[in-house]
Amino acid sequence: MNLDFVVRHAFRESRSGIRRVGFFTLAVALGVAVLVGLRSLQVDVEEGARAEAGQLLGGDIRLEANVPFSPEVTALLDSLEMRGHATARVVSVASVATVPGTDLSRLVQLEGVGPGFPLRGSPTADPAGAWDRVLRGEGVAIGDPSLLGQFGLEVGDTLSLGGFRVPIVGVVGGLPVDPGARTVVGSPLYLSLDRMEASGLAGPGSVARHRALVRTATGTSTDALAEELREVLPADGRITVRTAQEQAEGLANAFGYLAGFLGLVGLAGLLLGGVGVGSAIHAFLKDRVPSVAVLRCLGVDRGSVFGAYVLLALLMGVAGAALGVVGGVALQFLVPRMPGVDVPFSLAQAPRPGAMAAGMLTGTWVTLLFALIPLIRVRSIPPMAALRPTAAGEGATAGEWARRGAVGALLVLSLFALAAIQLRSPMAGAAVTVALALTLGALAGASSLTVRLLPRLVPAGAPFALRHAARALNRPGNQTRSVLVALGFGTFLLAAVAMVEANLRAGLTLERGMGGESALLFDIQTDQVDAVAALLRNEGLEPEPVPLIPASLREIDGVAIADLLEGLPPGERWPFRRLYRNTVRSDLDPVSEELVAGSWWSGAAPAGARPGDARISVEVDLAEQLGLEVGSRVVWDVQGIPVPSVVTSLREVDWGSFRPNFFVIFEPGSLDGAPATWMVLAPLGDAEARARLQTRVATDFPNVTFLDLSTILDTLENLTARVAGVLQALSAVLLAVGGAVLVASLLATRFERRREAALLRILGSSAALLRRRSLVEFLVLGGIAAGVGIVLAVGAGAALLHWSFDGLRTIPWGILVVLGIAVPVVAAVVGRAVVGDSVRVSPLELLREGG
Amino acid sequence: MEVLRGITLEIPSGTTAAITGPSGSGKTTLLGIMAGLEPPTSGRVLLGETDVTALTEEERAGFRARNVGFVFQTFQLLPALTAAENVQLPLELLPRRERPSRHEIRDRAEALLDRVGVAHRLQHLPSQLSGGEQQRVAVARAFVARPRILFADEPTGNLDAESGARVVDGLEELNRAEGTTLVTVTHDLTLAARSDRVFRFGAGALLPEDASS
Repeated sequence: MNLDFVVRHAFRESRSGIRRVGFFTLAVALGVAVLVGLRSLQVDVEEGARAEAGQLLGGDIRLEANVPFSPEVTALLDSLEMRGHATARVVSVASVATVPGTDLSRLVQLEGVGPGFPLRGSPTADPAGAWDRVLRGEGVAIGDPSLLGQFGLEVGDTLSLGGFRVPIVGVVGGLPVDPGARTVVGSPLYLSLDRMEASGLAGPGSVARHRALVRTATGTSTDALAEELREVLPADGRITVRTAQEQAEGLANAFGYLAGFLGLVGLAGLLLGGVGVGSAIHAFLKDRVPSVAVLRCLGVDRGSVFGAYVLLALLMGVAGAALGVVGGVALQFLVPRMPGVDVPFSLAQAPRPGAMAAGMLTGTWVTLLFALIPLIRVRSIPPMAALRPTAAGEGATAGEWARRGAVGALLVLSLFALAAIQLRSPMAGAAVTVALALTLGALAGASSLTVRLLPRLVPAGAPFALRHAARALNRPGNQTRSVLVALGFGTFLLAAVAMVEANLRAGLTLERGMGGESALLFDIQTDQVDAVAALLRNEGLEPEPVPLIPASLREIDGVAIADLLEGLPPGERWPFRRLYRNTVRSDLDPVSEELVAGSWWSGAAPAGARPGDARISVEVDLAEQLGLEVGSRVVWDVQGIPVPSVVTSLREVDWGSFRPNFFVIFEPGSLDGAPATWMVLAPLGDAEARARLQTRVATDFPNVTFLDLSTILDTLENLTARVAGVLQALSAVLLAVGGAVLVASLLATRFERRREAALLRILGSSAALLRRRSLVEFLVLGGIAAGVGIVLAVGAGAALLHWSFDGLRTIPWGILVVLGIAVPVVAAVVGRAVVGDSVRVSPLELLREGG
Repeated sequence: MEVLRGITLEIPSGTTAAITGPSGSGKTTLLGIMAGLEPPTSGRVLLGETDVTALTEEERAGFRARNVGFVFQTFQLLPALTAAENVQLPLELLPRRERPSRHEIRDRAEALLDRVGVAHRLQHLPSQLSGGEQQRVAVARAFVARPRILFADEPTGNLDAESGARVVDGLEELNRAEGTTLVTVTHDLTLAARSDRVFRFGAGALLPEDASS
């Protein structure tokens, strides 16, 4: 190979027509930008989380349980103090807060903080000193700024929490708030631990989280102390021990998964750009056959010619990837500053060389592979083609096909590797590769078929503009299929997201009709049940209070849980050591439950049952996790008392229904006398009636938690909209990639279009007719892309909804129609902007072209 | 830059004329002006009774659609259209009231393609035709709207001798049959000699008319 020639020829070609191809790398750049931006942000998050690990946790180590700490644990914490470590206590519970004198009520996250909190980090308060008033136990509260915003409160106003009122004395900053928890549960309100405990809101039976924070003494290893605590704490697994570093890693990991998932859009964009590059090089090479043949005649070996074009493709890949890296860095710094983006800690923002290098490599490699598929042809162009063009042959030889196949296989492998790295799972990578290949294949197939059939389908009597627009899609070098695939993929994703979102929303609307417009009252003490029921009867309801009996597993089929846990991977241990809230019920719920094995209480006791065993019904998925079947014996720990039971039935439960659903149901009479709290559903469709009831409950039964289920539906709808919004924004990036491929293909065919326009002008076409023909061509192009994308999205969305959700409920026709109109219109506008001047060409150009 | 100057020539209706001259002498510019593709900076061009230099660009386009045919050196067929569709094109561009029916358009195109010897290639794309066949399709396209005058720019310039001869035969035969005025620009003196009159061109001006014509 003549390296000197390779470099020189690549340089010379870069000055000529290849620049038309080069524009396709803009599409590659968009894909690389998304990948680099997300990866850089991921590193920012990792470093930010590590740097503020202690502040995120509020200490170096956190002990957490969903029951109050036992005297033994409290003694252990005291002993830590004596060894020089600092400790602080926090109790969190979700509670409804109301603004006195108004109907305004919301769920808030109450944080009862003990002296010393937080042990790491320095919260700031406005006004200064407000935080200290909370810690001193003055009976005042301080809120997250978002909480005051939600209630429209100002410092000095009062909030009502159950049976007591707290004045808000300031707003707090510098404390980490989990944006997810804030969205689902509510914004945090801080008050002193003493005040919280005095209120009874976090009493026995409530859904409170109890935490103890530890700041290790100087010279003590945090990891060693955490390990020591894990060893001395009870082995029932109810108290989790977590270090600040573990918390930071967990956060970074969670964001990493999210970034990996979103990064798939970048990967898809890169692929679409690659398809555009490959197709453009294919068209470019068709023009270059004579030049290559002449070079061969002049004595250049095939390796050198091939090498020159490969170098050219490589340079294009490098240029596209470099542009993408610049865009990615811009994205990295812009995204956290966009409105609505909520990061719970300060990001350590800096250019990330690793992410940039990965983007450069990925972009260049993918571009090169896509370019190689058509470039393989260069090796087979014989010198004789300079004298006789037919010597270049029409189709590819067997050898060429073999080499193309090898490059294709390398491409698929690369895609698999990139997806697997993005998602940190080879299986997920394989699934994405197959899904992308199927989608792109279906888009390419459907587009090809449409483009081929369209000229035959347009009737001979159709207007000139339409007939010729349909024909023009098959214009040599038009890259119609690449444009259709690229535009169609963006449309497909937007339509598919709209499909899924509309169906999830429809599901939520249905839930409202089926009980979602209800209130749920829980944490009701046994001596309050009758009074609460009477209150509900006053509202015209027929309350059916349900007991909740907290219990944990002690034995399954004679084997102690501690023994069962040995040998189980950490991810499978939770069902064995969690706290269950079981109930007692005489009948199956006809709406949400279905018996799938065994018999309800009426049947005979199964084999293996012993006298005195309580009969229980277990949810089928839980039974599988615990290895239970009908006849299995389970011993429960109910407040320290062993309660033996036998499984007599398995149930399927519709968890999506707004019914009081349970994993385990006991036979009536089997748990009489066990300590229980109660819950009751109040199906009140009228929002005013719910508000009235809420006020009464808050006044008469301050410890009872009142949950308006419609607010949960609001939250779910809000979440659905936010997730859909992010996905739609990323889908729009793919549509932009499609737009870039369209622009590139238009630039590549600019000369051909001018030639056509000149010829038609010579033959007598008016400028208006040329404009109409051009407009119709773009509308048809966009129309096919939108049509194919939407049809595939409806099919794929229906399949996804069928297999993963509750089936297809609705098709968002409005959005699909808007997409179906918008994509062709955008294609027409882009087309007009890029090649609209073709119609102004002088006809004489065509004569001069002949020489 | 002044490309043409002081040119006056008259070509009687129904006759053939050739314009010859070296490259860069202004032949193509003259052809473009005569055909109404571009207006001259001064002077007039009369095609029949019509002063094409007095027409607007859009009027000239309409005039060409009805009265003027072209044959190009590089064939200039639209690559996405079949041979038959390329020939039908000029008729489809006529104003609706002057446009023949779909059937007639198809029949006229097929008849002309038959006359130039490519009836067996009706549904082929230009890329599937040889150079000679492409040019014969172009000749059929030039005659399909029955123009009053036809301009041929180096019609055999890109063809071998045998293909060129077949194209010229087809061109002359159709010209005779249709009574069209034919203006050919060519380097080929043999081809030029087959015309009724030959105009020699040099440095943007007409040279004295060849004695033999």
